[in-house]
Amino acid sequence: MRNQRITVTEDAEGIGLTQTLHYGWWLRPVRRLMNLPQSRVYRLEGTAVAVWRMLDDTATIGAIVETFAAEHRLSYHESRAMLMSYLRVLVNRGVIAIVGFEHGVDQEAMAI
Amino acid sequence: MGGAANKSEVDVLSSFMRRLRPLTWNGFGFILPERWEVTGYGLKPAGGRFQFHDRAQAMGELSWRTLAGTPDLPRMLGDVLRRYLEAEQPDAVADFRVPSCLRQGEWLLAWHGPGAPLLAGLWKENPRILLQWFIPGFTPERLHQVQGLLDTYHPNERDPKQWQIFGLGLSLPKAFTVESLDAQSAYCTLRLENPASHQVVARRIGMVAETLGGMSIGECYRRILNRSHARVLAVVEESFRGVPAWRLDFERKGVHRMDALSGRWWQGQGWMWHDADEGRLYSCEQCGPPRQPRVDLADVWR
Repeated sequence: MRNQRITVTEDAEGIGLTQTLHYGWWLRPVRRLMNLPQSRVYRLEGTAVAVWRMLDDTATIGAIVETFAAEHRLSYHESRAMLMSYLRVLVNRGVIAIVGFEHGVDQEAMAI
Repeated sequence: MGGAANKSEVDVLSSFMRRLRPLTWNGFGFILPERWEVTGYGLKPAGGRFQFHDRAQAMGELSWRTLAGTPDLPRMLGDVLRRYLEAEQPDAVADFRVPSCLRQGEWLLAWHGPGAPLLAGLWKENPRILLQWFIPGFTPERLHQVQGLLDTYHPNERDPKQWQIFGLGLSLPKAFTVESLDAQSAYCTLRLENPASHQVVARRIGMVAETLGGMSIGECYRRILNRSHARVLAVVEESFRGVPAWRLDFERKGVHRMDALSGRWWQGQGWMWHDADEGRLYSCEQCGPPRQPRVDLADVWR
């Protein structure tokens, strides 16, 4: 599931993800002084764009892995190993979250 | 028309998956059931193991080790089952006396009941190697599947020896042993070496368009060899086993005896080609000390 607070911009070469940075109250007064950035921008190109498009907030990891495997003629576990390491990077950077949906759980409530 | 296109796509995918099914290693070989994949491995001089998964779950583990003495196989399998029950199903240990056993060819299968694992063992006198399958969660269907798997077992001791895993396949003289196996997603390398340090390396690379990123196959191969401390001397476009391929002549610093001290360069040759049906790049190269007889790479590749 994508981070709802990220601003997505698309152009011919890829996708830009802009993440507004939030600092703790103790850092806010000195933020300007230390010239800390207000946002962080990630740029996705090539295969990363295709994976991003698959992350549509409804697809399961299994489905994404299957689609990626079929598109790139990889075996299921090759595709899984590759995608999981990439998704881990996106999770660590706060771009996406991996959530387990249960019946009756409001998906909106699970947005980051 | 769309249906025909889908069918051919399925054919290509299944032909690609077929290549992943043979598993032939040091002394043994199997044809894995459909959808089984090797997802883990551990290789040591005296033994090793392979782990298998299908899409949803762990399907089993194959381990092998050399032993000095002849094992009492029924007792050994019984002990493994007992230890498993003690750890996982303590209530069932009291009922456990002797496992249910079944002999299938050279293999002995043993199990206790639903939930407990299904074990299969084989002792080979020459070479002295114990092969063991550990299949989690016994069910009659699983037993049937494992019997099918064991039917595909074949020894692999003759000269030349076969090495097949992750879609790579080599047939090499017996003196060659595995130096390393490196399996990353869409990139596998199998490196074998004989006692004279003559090395044969096979590679299998997926996601070809992304890997090449616009460069030629020859340039890609040159970069791979450069990264492995080789100095590429010539890049020639030729054919390998009837398909267009790139031949690279290269040299690498010697790593054996006086050659390592004197920094002598060893000559090597490699081929890389694109299997368009599978959507893979394959490469096979050899490098070794001078006067060491070379293998014919076209014959070596399976």
